[in-house]
Amino acid sequence: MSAPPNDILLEARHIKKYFPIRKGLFRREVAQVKAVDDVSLTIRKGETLGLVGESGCGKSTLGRTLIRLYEPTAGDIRFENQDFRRLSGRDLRQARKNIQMIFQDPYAALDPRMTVGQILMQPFEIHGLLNGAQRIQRARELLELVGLRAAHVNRYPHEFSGGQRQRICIARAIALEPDLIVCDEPVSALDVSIQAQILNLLKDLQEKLKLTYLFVSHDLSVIDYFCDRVAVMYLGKIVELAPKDELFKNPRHPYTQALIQAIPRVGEGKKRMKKSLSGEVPSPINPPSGCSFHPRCPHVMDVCRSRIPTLQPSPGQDNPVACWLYEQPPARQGV
Amino acid sequence: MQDSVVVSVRNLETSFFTKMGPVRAVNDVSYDIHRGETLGIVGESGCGKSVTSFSLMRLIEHPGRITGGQVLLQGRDLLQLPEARMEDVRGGEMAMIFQEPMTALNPVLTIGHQIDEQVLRHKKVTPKEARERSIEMLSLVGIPSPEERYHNYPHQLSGGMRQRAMIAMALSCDPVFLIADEPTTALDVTIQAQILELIQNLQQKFRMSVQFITHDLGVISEISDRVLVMYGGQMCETADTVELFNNPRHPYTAALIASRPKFGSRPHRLTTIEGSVPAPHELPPGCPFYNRCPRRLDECRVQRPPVSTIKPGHQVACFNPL
Repeated sequence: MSAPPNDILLEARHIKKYFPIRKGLFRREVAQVKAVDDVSLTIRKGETLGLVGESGCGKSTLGRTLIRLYEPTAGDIRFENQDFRRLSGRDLRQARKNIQMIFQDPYAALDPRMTVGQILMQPFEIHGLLNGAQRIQRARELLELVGLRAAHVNRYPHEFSGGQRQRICIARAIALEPDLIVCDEPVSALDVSIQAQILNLLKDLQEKLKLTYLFVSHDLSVIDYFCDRVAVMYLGKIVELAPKDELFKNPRHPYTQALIQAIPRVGEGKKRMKKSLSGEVPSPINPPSGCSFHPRCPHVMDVCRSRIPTLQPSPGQDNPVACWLYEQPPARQGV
Repeated sequence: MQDSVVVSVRNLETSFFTKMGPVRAVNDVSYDIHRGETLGIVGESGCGKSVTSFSLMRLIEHPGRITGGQVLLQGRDLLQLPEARMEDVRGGEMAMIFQEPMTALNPVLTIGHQIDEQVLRHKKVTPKEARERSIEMLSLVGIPSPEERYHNYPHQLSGGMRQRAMIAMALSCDPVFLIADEPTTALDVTIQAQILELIQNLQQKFRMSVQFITHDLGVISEISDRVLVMYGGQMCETADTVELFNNPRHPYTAALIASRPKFGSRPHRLTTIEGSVPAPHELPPGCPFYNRCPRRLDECRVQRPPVSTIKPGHQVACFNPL
């Protein structure tokens, strides 16, 4: 338990996820969207790892690829010291018991024709756990655990508000006592006053059930509050990965700096806007050469246009950043 | 040394006549906006902030109806105008931009065509002059190569560029008053920052009055001179932006600010507001916030708290303010 390797719950190496674009009568593949392009990271037991970035940066795809909701195009995933990509059949199902997911839209994530009780008993049915009476009992307990009433088991999803539905989704996710929960924008669709309730609930459950979260969000204020370490993504790649304090106090990558600059601050009053980042996120079908951030980067150098900076895997304290500003651009290094 | 009042809303009331009975979506709301000023209206979904804006534009559709009050634009009551005259005002003196530019723009007409149309409707110009005006506006809002973009259809532009095109259209006839209804909610943070910067620059340039609606406290805090907080169709509190965020007096305002994760300060738990926003037809007879309020008194249940001025420029509708 104490040795560092045992602290690692999930380890991903060089993950790629490309989606083909097909055209014409024979659906020939004409191009690829490189949604996730060579990403490596580790998730430690009990931590919350945040994935942040703008729309289209691949953060949701990465979250789903790591748990094989999408099959990776390439790369290795080790989950609980098993080669997760090689698993199939019974073994895969067994491993998946330990991984659950919470989605952004609690309206779409619950079957409108099932009662809350049926929804919460389904995980046990799929895995053949408990008998009928125990399942109902467990569903009632789960509802109370997420702050709803046990009597709600016979109601349908439409009878609940958005925040309550997200609580039901959370109850379903924790039903099998998983180790890892991937939270994909779990509060983005909710009102401000409800967001705080859900974030508090997720924090309480993490302490109570020793959960590990992969927390995908575009909202840096939420990430700042909720996560331990943060990975910043841009166009399919992680550009910086650091403990939260380090990242927000001392952002190193120019893109991270721009993102943090762009967060509207509450209570400081109207001000002249600082110079914001110009340009827009380029298409992942045909990303710019070299560092994909270079067309928008205020510190762009010659080397950035031709060579891709690499994010060094992080064994030490040092926070890896993929930027030529922090690498000596020697004659033959990098690609 | 305050500038003149451009917009004055007095006791506005808008109701929807639904099967479950009439619902007051906007209930006795009053405020002024001065020349060159930005009023931010903030609130959660269903608080009536968008219905207020649509009421000002007189764009409320069946089964809704404006059932009372006045909307004075430069002294003239818009609610008394015949529809034909109102059409001159809309897009002329007063314009609006929306959250989702893809649904607000016509997908089968080019951007240029749509701006031309508006200029021709409101100004005495030839088609050629209208075209020049449109291209000038596109370049003003920072769209690169405007002559080519003029011929583009909305789907050929990115989200940020579409929002710029919509701003170009809204400002093409020199409005004195602009309503921006969640204009950056659908955009990424770095693009949001660009659009907010653009709106501020244009506002200064043309000395427009702006009503800016959003649910995002950070955005409202950075763009507004004054803020109006709404809940359940009613005004809770209005004050200068710095005053409101640093010295909120209505329990709802205070709770809303506290429940937002704040950059740099990390409490172990966030302050929450228990329960959820009541449905419009379930609003309590007294204060709409009664069910969730930590400071409620008996009288709040049956009596609606009147709006009172607690210091110059700071008004609160609460029997037991902080």
